[in-house]
Amino acid sequence: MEVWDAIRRRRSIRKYKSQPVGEELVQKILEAGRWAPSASNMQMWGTREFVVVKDAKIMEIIRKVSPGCPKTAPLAIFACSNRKRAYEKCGKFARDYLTTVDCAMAVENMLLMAHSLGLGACTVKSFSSVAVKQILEIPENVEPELMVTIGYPDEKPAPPPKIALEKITYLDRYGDKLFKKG
Amino acid sequence: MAINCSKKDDEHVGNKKKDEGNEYLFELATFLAVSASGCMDEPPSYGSLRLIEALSKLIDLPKHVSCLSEDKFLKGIKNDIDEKSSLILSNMEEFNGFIDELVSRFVIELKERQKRLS
Repeated sequence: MEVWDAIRRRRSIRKYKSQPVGEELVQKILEAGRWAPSASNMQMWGTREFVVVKDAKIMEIIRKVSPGCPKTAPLAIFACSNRKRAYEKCGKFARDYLTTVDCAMAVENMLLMAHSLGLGACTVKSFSSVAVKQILEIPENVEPELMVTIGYPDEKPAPPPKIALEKITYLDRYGDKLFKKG
Repeated sequence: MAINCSKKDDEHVGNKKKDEGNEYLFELATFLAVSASGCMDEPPSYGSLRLIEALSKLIDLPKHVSCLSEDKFLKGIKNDIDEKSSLILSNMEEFNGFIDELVSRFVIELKERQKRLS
């Protein structure tokens, strides 16, 4: 699948079939996350970690403490930032900001990989961090930044409205149009 | 107004149904608690979203508690919530309109129920 196709055709999937996702596919998705860029290549210090939730009973509890989690998602991956390691290696800015950005970049890679494998995925931030940490026994210095639900899609959402490119792009100076009319 | 699940009804319903009702109530309570926490950081409009999602779950209560019966009006409200709550992601104006429309439908229904009672 071409990158451009994957970017344009990917949708947030909120309805899934019950069919389980194979181990090999999960591993490919995780690899895509691992290969994402990171600030100062912090990832090599283990500042970005992933927790995969496959156990149906644990997934059910996660769903109950995550108002934004699709009801039928069979699997979830939490992209987590190890803030302690980030602070020790790269300081306060890395701990408070860059780790979150790094997780977001990994998640985008994972979404595109899932799509290219014929799977559906959805990024979820509407979960109780306190509850998720307690359920998954995530240590205090590690923060679950984003949840990605994954499964075989049971819906085909229409593309959402997107703002026109000319409204959000400028040339050389903020406010100077990149795309001139006529 | 108190809901009267009489002892006789309880016996008739059996423990299984009671457990199911209690579990559902607990699930709804969990949803409300974590939503209260989430609303501190999420966009303000998500407060409305979580409330109507909770309303949808609340309307399902009769499925799990035998001394409650399904309400046709509320069922219609639930169907529309489940169908239209995702508008918040694509068209905020329509989402706001939908919430206002819900309130308006409740007002009409309130008046009709009042008439029926008097």
